[in-house]
Amino acid sequence: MAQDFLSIVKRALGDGGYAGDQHGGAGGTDGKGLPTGKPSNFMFATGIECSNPTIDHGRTRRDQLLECGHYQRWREDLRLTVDLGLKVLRYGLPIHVTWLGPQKYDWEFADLVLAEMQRLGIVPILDLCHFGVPDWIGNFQNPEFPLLFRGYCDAVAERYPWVRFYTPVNEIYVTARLSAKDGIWNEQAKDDRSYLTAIKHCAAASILGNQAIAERRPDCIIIQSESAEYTHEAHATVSDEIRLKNKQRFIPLDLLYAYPFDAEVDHWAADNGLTREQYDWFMAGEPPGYQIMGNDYYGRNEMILKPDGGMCPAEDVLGWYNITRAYYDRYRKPVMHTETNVADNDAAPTWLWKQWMNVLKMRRDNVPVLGFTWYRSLRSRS
Amino acid sequence: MCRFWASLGTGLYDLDRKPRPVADTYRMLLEEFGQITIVPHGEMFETTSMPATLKIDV
Repeated sequence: MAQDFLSIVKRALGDGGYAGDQHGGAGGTDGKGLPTGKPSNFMFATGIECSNPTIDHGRTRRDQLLECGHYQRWREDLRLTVDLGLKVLRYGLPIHVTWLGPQKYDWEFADLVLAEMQRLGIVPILDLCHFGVPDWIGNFQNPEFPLLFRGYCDAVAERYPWVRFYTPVNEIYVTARLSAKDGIWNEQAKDDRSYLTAIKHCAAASILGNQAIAERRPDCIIIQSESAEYTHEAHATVSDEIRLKNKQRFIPLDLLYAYPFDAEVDHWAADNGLTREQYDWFMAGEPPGYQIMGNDYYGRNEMILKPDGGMCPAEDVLGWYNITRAYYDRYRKPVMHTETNVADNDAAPTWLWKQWMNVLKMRRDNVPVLGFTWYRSLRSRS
Repeated sequence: MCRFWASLGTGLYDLDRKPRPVADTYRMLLEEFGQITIVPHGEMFETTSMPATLKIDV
């Protein structure tokens, strides 16, 4: 009587659990378990909030590291990161504390913290400019800022040669918008020319800083954390203002990644001080190193302009997936979800799952998503 | 309300360094997905330590 192959196999080798199958076959692992920190491991991260813009026209600095007690409890904060099972930490060196002048630095705090990170096996994504500059630079209107910032990046990369991941200038769009268009931080300007100037200076600083880092670390990985933005309009006819705003959100990454401007943006930029020579300088090529596009998403990244002129949050109309997908289709860079949280403590767990579902969907649609960040580790006092 | 203040939301820990509910959730997520790779079968494409060279998107 003829036997089928399966009965022969089972008789010879048993019913499953075959030798060799543990190497990625039916007996392989399924991704469960705390992060390993191996180079192939998806990067799960958190961050210590390190914003340090000035308000009151430079008279008051909002140092979030100070306000959350990190300068005193930094060792404990790092330990909490490890205890949760995380290997990756977005960490901002306090630029106004560390960078005292051209080629003048105070490394005392940075040395302590980074040595402890190394000891604990934490991989830092070093954030070098997070919404503020030192008093001696003034604000983002200073045309000397980009070149000076290159020197700072070079000094950091020289001092910490083991650090590989950097965000040279965090969220350029938000930095420029709140500093020079919405009039809230730093220079507190409210005009288009100042707004574009801040974007230019931040983008140029990021490029020059990136080059300095790559000079020290040719294998550097640059994670450009940028706000994933969109404004909806509850009007039958979309206004020129909102149409332009939804194009302006791309300007920082266009300049950074040498992506040619849309004609309408090109006219706006030319009208507000971007010279042909400057534009060509940005378009010469992308920054060096391995580039990852970080997209930050909070519910208020999406807003709705109502018929009465008021604005309200559009939380999750598009969500991280759809907005980031538009950025990905434009720049074709590997992606990382670099910031999210929600103000409501009770809603936070569900928000986390929703963001993670966004990440999984993006991966399943064949977009390389390299990491996810619940930002931040500590609740802010404000 | 500006985005900055809106973004100052729920941390994993409060200012006394006590875990908030989202910390437990994140831990659960890590235990379920913590060892996935950057891309499917990412072990084959581990992050290289070679210097970056290519300037074209291929």
